[in-house]
Amino acid sequence: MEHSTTSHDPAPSPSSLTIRDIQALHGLISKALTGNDPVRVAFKNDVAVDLSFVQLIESARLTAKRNGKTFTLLRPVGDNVRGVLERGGFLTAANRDAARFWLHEEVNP
Amino acid sequence: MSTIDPLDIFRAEAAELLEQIEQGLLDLEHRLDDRALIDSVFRGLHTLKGSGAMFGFDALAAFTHHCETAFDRVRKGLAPATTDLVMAVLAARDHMRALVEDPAGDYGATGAALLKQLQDAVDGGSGRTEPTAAIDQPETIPAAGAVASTAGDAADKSQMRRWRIRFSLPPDTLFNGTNPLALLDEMRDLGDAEIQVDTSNVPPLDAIKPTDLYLSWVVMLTTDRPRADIEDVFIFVMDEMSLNIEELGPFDPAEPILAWTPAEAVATPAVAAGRMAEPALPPATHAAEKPVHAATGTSQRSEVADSMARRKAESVRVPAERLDELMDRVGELVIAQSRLTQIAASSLDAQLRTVSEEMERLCSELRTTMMVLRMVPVGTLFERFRRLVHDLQRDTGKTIELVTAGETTEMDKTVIERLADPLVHLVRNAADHGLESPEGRHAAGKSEIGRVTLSARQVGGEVIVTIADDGRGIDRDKIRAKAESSGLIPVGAVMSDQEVLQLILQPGFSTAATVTNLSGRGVGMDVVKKTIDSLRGTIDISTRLGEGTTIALRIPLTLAIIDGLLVRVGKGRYVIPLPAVEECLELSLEEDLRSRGRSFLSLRGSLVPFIRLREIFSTGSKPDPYQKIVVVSTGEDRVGLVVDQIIGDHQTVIKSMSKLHDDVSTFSGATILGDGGVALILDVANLVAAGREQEAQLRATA
Repeated sequence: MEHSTTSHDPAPSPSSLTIRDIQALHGLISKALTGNDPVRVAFKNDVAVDLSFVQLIESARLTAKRNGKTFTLLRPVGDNVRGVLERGGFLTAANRDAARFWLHEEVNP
Repeated sequence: MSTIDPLDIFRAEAAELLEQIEQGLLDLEHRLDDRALIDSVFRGLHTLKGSGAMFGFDALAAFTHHCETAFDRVRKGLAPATTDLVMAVLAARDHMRALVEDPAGDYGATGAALLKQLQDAVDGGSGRTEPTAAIDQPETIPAAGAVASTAGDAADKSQMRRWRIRFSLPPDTLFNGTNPLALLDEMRDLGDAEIQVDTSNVPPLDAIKPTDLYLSWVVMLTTDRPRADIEDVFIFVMDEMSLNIEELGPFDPAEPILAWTPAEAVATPAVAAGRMAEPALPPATHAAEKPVHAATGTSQRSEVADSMARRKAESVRVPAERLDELMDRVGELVIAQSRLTQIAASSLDAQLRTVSEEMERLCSELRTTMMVLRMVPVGTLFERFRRLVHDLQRDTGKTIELVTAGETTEMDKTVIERLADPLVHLVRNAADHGLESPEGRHAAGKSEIGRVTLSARQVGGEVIVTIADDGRGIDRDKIRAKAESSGLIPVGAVMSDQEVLQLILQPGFSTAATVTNLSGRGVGMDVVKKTIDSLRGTIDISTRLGEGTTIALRIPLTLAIIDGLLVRVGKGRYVIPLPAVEECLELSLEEDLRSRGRSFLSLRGSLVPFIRLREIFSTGSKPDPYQKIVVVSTGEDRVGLVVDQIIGDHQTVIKSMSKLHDDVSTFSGATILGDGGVALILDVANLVAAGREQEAQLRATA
């Protein structure tokens, strides 16, 4: 995973987006959100992912929103993350905000 | 505080699950129609698969899935439990263990061969009882969810009902390897499921513990399956989770399946913020149905929850290293308390003495409580040998009965783990070399069923684990001849029976005429000896030709804190473990002089050798006028230790000695005294052995 801001180089990547590396990911994202620059997150499509990562990103979204910061994904998620989101019930029609964030899709009411 | 690797937690859990599966299968072999055993094995396989997948043990999860599916069919009454199936899953269980220990290992065609065996077992079982069903089925082992996914299509729409299921899982769910996505997938398998996550409890980054789970879910399910099937999805997590299942009434095709619609969701501000909208429900249906189903659902669920809560209360998994840390702290506390006792003893302050005595009592209780935390019944070790004997029967063609006794005897868990390999060697030897063939037993007038007995008992400060067989016994002459021919002993050497028998513990020693895949290579017994030596234990062998052999492993209770008897020899202080002390006597100067050169005392009609510690320790000081003899024993053997003074009892925290002192056999460790001084702890087993040697020499020269 890497994050990009206007003033920092991409951070080093943990090997997975799962509970194995979730502590490191937490530190990485927390650090990125301490600055004032917008944070854009990107990760590889073929990387292993689980619910702990999706939950962490939801936490980061909440943090950014409370602090008035911009936190977005650099590009829509790939099949692996999308699979977890769909199986976990994150992408129902009721949650259009999630679809906009994760998939960069607008859901029309 | 140490951190715990989740993979280690999984491996520990997997080891327990595999143990549970194996025990269940071994019992099932004798009671093929036992429903509880079938359920137990299925649950073990199911949990192993789920946890394995969660922690990235994909090969394990995929392989286990096939066994689970086979047992699921048995559980549902679609196939019978057969001996072949039990044997196939037993064999598969060993492969599962390999996949846990080395997921990336090269197993060649092992997995495929085991699956073929499983497939044959399932085919055979189905063919005997349900020939039509077996032929009609497109796959003998259906893929996961195959039954469930077709259920919705085939179901009679009139039986379809709607359910709302709300659930949240305990915070450590992810960390412990339970995958909520798998639960949601199982819900989908039950019918038409609309799943909505609730993220409202997810805290911001500065408050989140990223390994914890904060998500919860609401599932709107339309299915013809009963409530019990829905509850079954959560059966492995029900004891700690929050679960609410409401029946919303019969399915009406005219109504939308889902209670919420995109339009409603958009109109609800909470949804836009990621919160869960309360589904809009027809009030009449909701009010009419809820009391009835709440009552039945609660009673059913509470039964399951009660049993799980009971199980949960039975044990708590704590990493051994945390217990070690706690033990260290208790050890330090005991040392500090010794110091306090010493200060209080020399003080006139009555209050200080009272507090000191109270502290001493509390420390002693705390120590006792701490000690039992690490202790586990030796039965947990013995259980493993049921499988070994099961396999040995198959490999040797002998009928073997395994008898166990003293399973409740407790030992330190790490010691039990280290005893496993030596016992495997000994049980194999007993089965392969000790027991005769059925024909041989018949000819010798014995029952054709050979017996191997595993037993344990505590004697003083040690546990004696015994492996006995009722086989042919060990031929001492054969051992002697073999030892002489291989140069281990000089020809015609004078040796006691015990010494001759101890020769079988020498590396490379084997009297077996043929080497089998079980034993006979002479590499087993010296490994047994090395392990027992490392545990500071001893091996006693007794045998009677034609009647059998008994091997007793005497293992000291390796406790970090022991009650000791503090003694003085010269200017040094030493600790003798109190459980080994039998009695204390006075040795007057006259008696001391009289016994010079013999070092034996007459104790109630029997001669007991004694050792003058001042000579061994070369104190260089004169003996006290009234020396004491502390008589110590290990089971049957006794020896007296001559000391200058007995100071008193002392709670002793054992500190291991450095590598430099590895070859010092007289001491088993050291301890710190209340005044900060150091006292060495005497190794009673070695001293008794020295006394025994002394006695044997005397008898030889007498």
